[in-house]
Amino acid sequence: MVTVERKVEGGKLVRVTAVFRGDVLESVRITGDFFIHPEDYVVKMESELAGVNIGALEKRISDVCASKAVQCIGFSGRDIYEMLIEAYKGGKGKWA
Amino acid sequence: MGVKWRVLPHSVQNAYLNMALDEAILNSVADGASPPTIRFYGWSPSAVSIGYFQSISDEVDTKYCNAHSIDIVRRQTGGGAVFHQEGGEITYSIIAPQEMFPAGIIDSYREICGGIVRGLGKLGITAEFRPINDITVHGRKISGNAQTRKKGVLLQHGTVLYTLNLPKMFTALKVSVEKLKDKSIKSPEDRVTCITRENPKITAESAYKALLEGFTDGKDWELGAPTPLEEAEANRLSKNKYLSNEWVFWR
Repeated sequence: MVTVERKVEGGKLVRVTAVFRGDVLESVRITGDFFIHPEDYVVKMESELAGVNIGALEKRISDVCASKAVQCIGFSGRDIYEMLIEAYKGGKGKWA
Repeated sequence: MGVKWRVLPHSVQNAYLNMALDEAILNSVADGASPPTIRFYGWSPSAVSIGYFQSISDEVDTKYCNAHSIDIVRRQTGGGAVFHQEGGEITYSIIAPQEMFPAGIIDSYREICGGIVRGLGKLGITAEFRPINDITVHGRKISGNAQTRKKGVLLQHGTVLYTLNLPKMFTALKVSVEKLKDKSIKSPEDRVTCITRENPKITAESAYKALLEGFTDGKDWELGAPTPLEEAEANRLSKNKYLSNEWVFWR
């Protein structure tokens, strides 16, 4: 389990705690002082990302965050993706 | 004839009942049983409220809070952890159908926070809205605000600092190193301010009156009280939701 923390410039603090099994994101928890409308969507985001291969994460995050059903305030899907890559590398993943 | 707002005058409750009453009013407004409402309140005992998405272990020194009888409650709104000092702040909530506000989240923060900026202006304190959700005086935060939209109703609550107990605040709350990196001014004293720091002669009563005027400016309003149904729902939510470990330790 690796936690990566980022204070988004002009935005909010986001922490991503990720568990990778090989190249697959087994689970992720997103915490911090950001806003997501509606709030319950954070659970959907986390479950949508679980089980996704590292190579497919960028598109999956983009799809999840592009939904008209959600507004992320204080961070973007790009932040989550970059933090997950950092977590993957921190967990000695092979991403180059 | 326009909408008539209900104003619930300042009252003091514990943290769990405070959050529960906000939710009960939201539900009642959603059902059409209550008018748009502006509520003022305080906290007893002192409490820490954390944002919906925050982890207690990351944000709060729970041992310190337990040792000093400081309640810990999770809000239904996002945003950051707040130390609510007993008698040290004026907290408000605005709860109304969301079509009464701009659709954009930041625009609606700006509009509602305008009530605080106007109120502080009446006290001779020049404040400004600082997106995403803060109000500052000379670059120092004096008010934090958080918003949710549920069942077609917008709920925004926030605090205006009247006095400050910085040592207690910064012991009860854990401040992220990453967050500090982003601040151009680093010492706690330079990051926050309060009404009495800006002008020690301003009484709590006059501060409350000014904020009431700021929020109600241009609105048709009358003083009111929570309905029996809202009070019953608040008591239920306080006990079954806000006090439950399942909710408090959700993350």
